[in-house]
Amino acid sequence: MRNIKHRRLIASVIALGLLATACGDDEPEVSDTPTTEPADDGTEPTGTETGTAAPEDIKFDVGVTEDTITLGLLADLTGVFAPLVTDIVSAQEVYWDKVNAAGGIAGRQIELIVEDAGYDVTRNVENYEKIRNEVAAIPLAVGSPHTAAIVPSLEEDDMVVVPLTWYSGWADPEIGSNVLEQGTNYCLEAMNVLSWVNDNHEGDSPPTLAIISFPGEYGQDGATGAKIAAEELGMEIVYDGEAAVVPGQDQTAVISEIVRTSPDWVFATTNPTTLGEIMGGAVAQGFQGNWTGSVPSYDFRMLDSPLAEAIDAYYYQSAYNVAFGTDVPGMQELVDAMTEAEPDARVSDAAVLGWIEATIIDTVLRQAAENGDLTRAGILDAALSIDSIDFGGLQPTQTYAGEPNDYVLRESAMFKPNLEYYNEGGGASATYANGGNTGSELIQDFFASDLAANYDYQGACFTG
Amino acid sequence: MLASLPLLLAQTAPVDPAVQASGGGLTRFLAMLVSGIALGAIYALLALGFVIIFKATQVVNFAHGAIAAVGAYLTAYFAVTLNFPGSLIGGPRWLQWSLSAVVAILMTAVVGLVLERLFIRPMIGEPLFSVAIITLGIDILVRTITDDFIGTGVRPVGDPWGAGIWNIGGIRIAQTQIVTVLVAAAAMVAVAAFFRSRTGVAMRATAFDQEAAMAQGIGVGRIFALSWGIGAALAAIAGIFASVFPRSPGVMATTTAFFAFRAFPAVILGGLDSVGGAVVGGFVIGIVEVAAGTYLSPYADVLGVGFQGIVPYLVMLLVLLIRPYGLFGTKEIRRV
Repeated sequence: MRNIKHRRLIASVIALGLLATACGDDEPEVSDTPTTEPADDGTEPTGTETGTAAPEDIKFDVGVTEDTITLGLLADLTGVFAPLVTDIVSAQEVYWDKVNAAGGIAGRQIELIVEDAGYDVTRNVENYEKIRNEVAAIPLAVGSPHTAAIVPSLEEDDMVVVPLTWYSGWADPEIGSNVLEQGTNYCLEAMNVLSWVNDNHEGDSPPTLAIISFPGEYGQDGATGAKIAAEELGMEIVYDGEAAVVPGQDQTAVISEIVRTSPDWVFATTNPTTLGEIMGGAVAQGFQGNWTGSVPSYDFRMLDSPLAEAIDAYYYQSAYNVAFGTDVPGMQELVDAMTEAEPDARVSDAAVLGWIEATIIDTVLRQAAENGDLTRAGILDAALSIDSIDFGGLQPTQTYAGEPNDYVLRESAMFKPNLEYYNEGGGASATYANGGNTGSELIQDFFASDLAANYDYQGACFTG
Repeated sequence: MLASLPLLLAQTAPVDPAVQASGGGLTRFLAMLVSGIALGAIYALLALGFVIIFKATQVVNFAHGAIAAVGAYLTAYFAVTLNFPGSLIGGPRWLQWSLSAVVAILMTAVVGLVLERLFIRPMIGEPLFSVAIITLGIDILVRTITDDFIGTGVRPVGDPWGAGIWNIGGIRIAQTQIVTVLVAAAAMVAVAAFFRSRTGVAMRATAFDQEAAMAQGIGVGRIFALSWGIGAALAAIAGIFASVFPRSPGVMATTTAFFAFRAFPAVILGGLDSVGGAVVGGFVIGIVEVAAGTYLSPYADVLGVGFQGIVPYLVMLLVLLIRPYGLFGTKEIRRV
């Protein structure tokens, strides 16, 4: 009996100890390390040098220790965007390994936590809960509704994220003050793409248009931009399939309407496999119109499918950033790093995207370190104060300082999937080591259409 | 790198002139019918597999879709990745691909046999509900492993017909659709012939009364295994043709496996234990689904997104209200 009482006492003490520890986790304390005022010697927060504040003098809290900075990737490794995101995660891992090899940031090595939500909003929220007390920032958050679902928590935590979503609401402080959007949003992108389509159409009247999209912030933001552009440009929308495309369902109705209404162009905001189903169905029925759409609708691997010739003939690809291998100053570093780290991996345009996202957080962390404040609030302040993040031409420079209408990006580029060029580069066998390509040829360098350039950004185009 | 602008965008001809020339209504109807029959053939194959396993074992196999994905993946692997056995024996491309597909189908049948032996055979005599739940577990197991092999991208099955189209009297028909229907028809004839064979009769006897069949010297365990083997082979064929142009760009994780569940209304409509019903149900549901998508699409605003996916269930409900055991299902009589 004495033994049992003794064990109960020990158990009670352990339980109290655990409770105390658990309570402590809720409010992470700022490190007691002495702090100094942020030094200001004008050092640019780029490259691999440590900021001006001595590493031991930098304030820090959640996700940062004396030796490490932990970052979280809210990924989709098994859902509808898995091919894209897998390549992005891979590129980010290579990027951060490179940073670590060069000494890290503020003397701290970068550690990554990767969580897969399978493009499921609920799982994404769960994953955020899992890592919210472990990471300093999130250089990848997949999905518009998925990211929207964690915005209140992000704000509560002063957590910055780089979204893999180009929803036009992210630049609106009311919706996403912690969301460091990358590239031109879906809405402005659609204006650019359709302006380009209209400018290059040789008919007497503007081309007719079908708009097809997923429901939700992704699909309908692109569709809304397309509708704004169509109205301004006088393009007749012969089929409005906004929100009509649901991945995993039979697409006969959408295909049927495209074929029936026979537009000159189809503008899609979907994912590649669903676009493949719809395009396959329409082409099989003799539809010969052109296709384009929001960036995530296309994946160069569609050139491996039976649709390759149709893609080659009819698809025009919009872009927020250049394709892999495009001749811009920042490309060589990426190519070299990927070739060294993953020589046998298949080349991917998404690697460029991953590189850009990592560059954003890298720059922000260096600025925060330079400011002497690697607390999450300090990282957020740094993010909102940087004048310009340069990507070496991988995409236009980006900032989050000032008014959204002044800083939202408005440029897009246009690429043409080219089957011959793709096959010359090895096609499906193209690896980083053998210098392959993704078949995407630049046909229009970054441009801002009049519509996008003059658009008065006051918030999201689509708000549900 | 700035390529010369391939701007041949002027006044494109959005619909093939051959299609336009042939007139709207009839062409559209016939194109819909062909597409519906091709989809129905895939549903019929899936439904046949469901029914054969149900008839022999009284178990609804929820792992059927996962097994279909195994067959589709193995075809992509043998035909595209390895070109086995084509690289060894040569011959025309269609022959090489067909041999790869046959190897994949046979291997999927073996997977079916192994699953039955490992997970179903030990459950003989246990409540059928438990066995059905076990098939849900098999589904998760097989699907997870298969999805890992498929990877994150799309794996084209490499069929020789690709995006080829035949223009027959102004009606465009994807070559794969014709092949799908022909292969499905051959599989159905083979199944019908099997049921007339000695082993087939033994399976029918087992389905009718297991104890009586055992008393007649029929190896019920062997019949169970055989039903899983045949069911898996049929699922593999369906999985392959569900992964070709124009319906799909290739085999995909999760998507290919879940496709099989769309055949459920066909199974129920035809009658869970009716081979003929599975075939009829498959074609009816396939045609109804495509017809709904084709003709009701202008009313999507009112009907809602994805309405064509609901229509098969409405048809199924309607039939069940009139014939609770499906069109051809065996009426079950319970005396209380």
